[in-house]
Amino acid sequence: MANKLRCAILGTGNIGTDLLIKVIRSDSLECTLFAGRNFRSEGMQKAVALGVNVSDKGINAIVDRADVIDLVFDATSAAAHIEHWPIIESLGKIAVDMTPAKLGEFCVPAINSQEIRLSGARNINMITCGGQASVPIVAAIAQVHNNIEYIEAASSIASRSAGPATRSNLDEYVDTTEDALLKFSGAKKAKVILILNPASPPIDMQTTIYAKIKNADILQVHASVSAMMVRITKYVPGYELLVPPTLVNGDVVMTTIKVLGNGDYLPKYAGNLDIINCAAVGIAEDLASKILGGGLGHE
Amino acid sequence: MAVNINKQIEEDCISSLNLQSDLVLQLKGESIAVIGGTGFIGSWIAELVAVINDKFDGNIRLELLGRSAKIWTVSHPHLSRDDITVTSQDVRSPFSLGNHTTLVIYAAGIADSRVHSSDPYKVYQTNVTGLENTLKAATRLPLIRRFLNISSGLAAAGSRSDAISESDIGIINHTRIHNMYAQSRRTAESIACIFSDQHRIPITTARAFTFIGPYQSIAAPWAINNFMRDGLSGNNIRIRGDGQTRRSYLYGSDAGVWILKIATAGQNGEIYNVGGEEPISHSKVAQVLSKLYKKQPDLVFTGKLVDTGRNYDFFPDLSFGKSKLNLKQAFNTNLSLERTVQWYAAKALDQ
Amino acid sequence: MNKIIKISDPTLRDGNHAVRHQLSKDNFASYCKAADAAGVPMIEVGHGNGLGASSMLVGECSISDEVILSTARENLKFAKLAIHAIPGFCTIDRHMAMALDLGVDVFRIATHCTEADITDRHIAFARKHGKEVYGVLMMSHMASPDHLADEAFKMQEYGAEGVVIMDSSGHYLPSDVSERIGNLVEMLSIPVGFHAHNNLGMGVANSVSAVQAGATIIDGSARGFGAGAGNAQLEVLVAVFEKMGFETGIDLYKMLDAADLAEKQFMPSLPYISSTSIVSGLSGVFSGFIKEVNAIGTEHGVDARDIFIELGQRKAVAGQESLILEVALALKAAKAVGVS
Repeated sequence: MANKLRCAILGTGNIGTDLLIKVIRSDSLECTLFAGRNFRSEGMQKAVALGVNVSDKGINAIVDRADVIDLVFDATSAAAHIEHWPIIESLGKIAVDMTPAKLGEFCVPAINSQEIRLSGARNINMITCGGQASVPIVAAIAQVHNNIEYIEAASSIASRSAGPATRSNLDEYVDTTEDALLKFSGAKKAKVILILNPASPPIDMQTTIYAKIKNADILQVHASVSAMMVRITKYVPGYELLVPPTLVNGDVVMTTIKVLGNGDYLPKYAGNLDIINCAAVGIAEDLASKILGGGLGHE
Repeated sequence: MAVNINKQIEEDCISSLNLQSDLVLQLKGESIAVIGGTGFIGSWIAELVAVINDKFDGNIRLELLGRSAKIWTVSHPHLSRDDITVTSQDVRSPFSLGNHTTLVIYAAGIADSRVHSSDPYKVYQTNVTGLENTLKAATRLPLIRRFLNISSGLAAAGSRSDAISESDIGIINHTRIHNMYAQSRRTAESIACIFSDQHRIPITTARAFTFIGPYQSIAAPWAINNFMRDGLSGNNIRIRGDGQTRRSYLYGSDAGVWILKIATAGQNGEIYNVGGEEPISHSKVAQVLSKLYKKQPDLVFTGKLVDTGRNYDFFPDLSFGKSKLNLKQAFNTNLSLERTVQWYAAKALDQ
Repeated sequence: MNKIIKISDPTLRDGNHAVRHQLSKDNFASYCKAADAAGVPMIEVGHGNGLGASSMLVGECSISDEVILSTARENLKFAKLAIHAIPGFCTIDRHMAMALDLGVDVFRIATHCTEADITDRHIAFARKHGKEVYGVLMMSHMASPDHLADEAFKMQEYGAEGVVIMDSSGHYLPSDVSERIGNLVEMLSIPVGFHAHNNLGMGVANSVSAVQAGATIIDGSARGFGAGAGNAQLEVLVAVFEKMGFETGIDLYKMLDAADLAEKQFMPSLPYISSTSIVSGLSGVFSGFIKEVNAIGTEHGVDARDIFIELGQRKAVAGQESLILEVALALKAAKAVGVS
């Protein structure tokens, strides 16, 4: 059997279960433990049907089976991750944090997977779905212009794709995504907006990015964004440029992207959930190639 | 400060126990499991067991199953004892109980009406699936004496009478989402019926009305908590509507004693209301509370209602429990309110 | 029937839509003073989409929320200072905390009518600080009367002290209003309110219908200054309610003076029902889109009315300005190919 990075998934909800399917499909990752709190959840049932080891003991299961785990995807909640991280850290494992807990390094694979890989960071934060959608474009613009005054990312997601956890954490979503935009754009100010759209049939995830730049070079921006599209679509096949970079009102570059999910576990309109999982698997595979290909893996 | 509060709670337990003289004897040597036991009722049962074991040689063994054993241990340090064990268990997941268990009390449920609105499925799972899992666990217990399902007075709500009695069937439009909590409790009671019939487990039901006292989370969005929180934070007490809606309040130690009494002496299929005797309007409660704060807050009525003839009162008829089990309150409303405010104030100081 | 109507005046908030959020500091100061003197009990100020909404997406405000709120606060002695806040645009820590510090009295937490469960924490914040808080359901025609009542009930459970439903696109007829308001009054144990838009000329009539069905909170703007075809005209409401025997606590003459002042100072044009307004009202699309739709329609040679109908079909939700361009481009392409 080919050498694979052994991953545990903590949290058996929609995100965790969709991750599971992606991990199983991966050539360099395998799921050695799928842990949650409720055997009766659909995710658990799915994992059992797929022959994956499951546990309802949550983080304690990670501790018990630490010997077969290299990396933990934490798909629980920000509050829970804050409790989990010290434990995962003490076990010497890597955490890929799917929550907006912001304990670790922000990771957008298309932009900084090499940096993350080389830094040896043990806690990698996947920001938010809106962050994964908007940061690549924002970074592409920042590669052309280092004097962005203001950056804005407004996302619309299908009402059906936003569960109770999303709805009670809108502020955390906004804060974390804004932090990421500032970090990756160098802009002075950032604003993030999230809109839930109840249209039926459900809309696909859409994000519009506005960048206020003096004397924006729209052609260069175009080229940079196109290059970035190539990098992103490698790990997010459903990422699409809906409205190419357009100069609006003289000093604002506006562009709209759409993310269609892969439909692994969740419906395709839930591109917002899919993209963060694609990104998480993306960085995990990157780390796998370092750990398995090169050195010992555990420092 | 903390020591005084614990002493007070201990004394309160004894006051309530004094009204049920034979309960201590009936509980001797019992092995009680409380599912959802890290909440309000579980906390008071733990306090009562500690008192009974220490002062009356009760030799009771108590197991509490709840969402987080760790949080319990931190918030109830004085109840860290050999006769009380706390285990983390998500009730939505199947589980087992120790074979020595003689009394099972289902006290899990989400009473926070904000969660009813935001995550009704989770409420259903906790109220219904959780009960079902517990019943299944109970069927495998060789020594089980009784199973007590703590349901809600809302299961019988919608009836026309002021005070809701156990024999009220209630009228609920189960097709509307805002009735999901009440409907889930009714469904849970039905499932209990099935297990009682098919698995021959003796099951008694307790219908909880409004409880008050230490260990009640002030964050739970009930009118009385809002009043207390308003007062404690130095704000005016805001009362929605005209303040005439009535509730009755049962203090924690009384509630705990009644639950234990019903668990030991209730008969199969019986339903007992557990709640306060004295219906009192929101504005009256707010008035009593306002006098308890150093800076006496004003009462602000936030809007008169259109008179639709709807009655939002919620309090029980207690005659059945009184006659069958001699259930009595040691704490009247005023005293209960005073105790509760004291406890919150002390907790706020500790933080 | 309740004889007291609480008027809430969003001239300086909804009206900001009409001038692309460019109301000046002086505008806020003088209208607040005048409306306060007239006895208007609640005055709402800010960007058209509420606290924290100033953005490229829905338009940038010429002055900051901080300046607006402190200016308004200075100029209100009797009236309560209110803000409109949409979770997703407005955060608790950054925006609501600031508003609290600047002396806002009333928080109206608003959301699309099917998404009440995003308002829990924002409502809780206001309640925790002892402030008056309402739930607001926007585009309320997009949910059935029962569904609307369910969503309003959630807001009540979260701690709202009243729920106001908005006819954001001016879509209702009086019978629609009495059905929905009646339903809400039946369902809730807190006061119910109505916010009209005038696309089909029903602003005042709908407000009267609401009151007759049991609403006790009514929104109205001076001259109807608001998004699109405008709101119910406030000074007309005051006169009508007075004639009907209701008490608003507002002095009619001083209200007329305030409306005259508002017209003179900051209304480049009075609200009127344009052809596009009629179309957007009929199709049930948010009237705040109008200027953008007209601009984009002109730019791309597409009939603005067709854009509206298409937006209505797509059930466009308030805040999706970027969709307009997409629709226009799609219609333009369809026209080029000869598809109708």
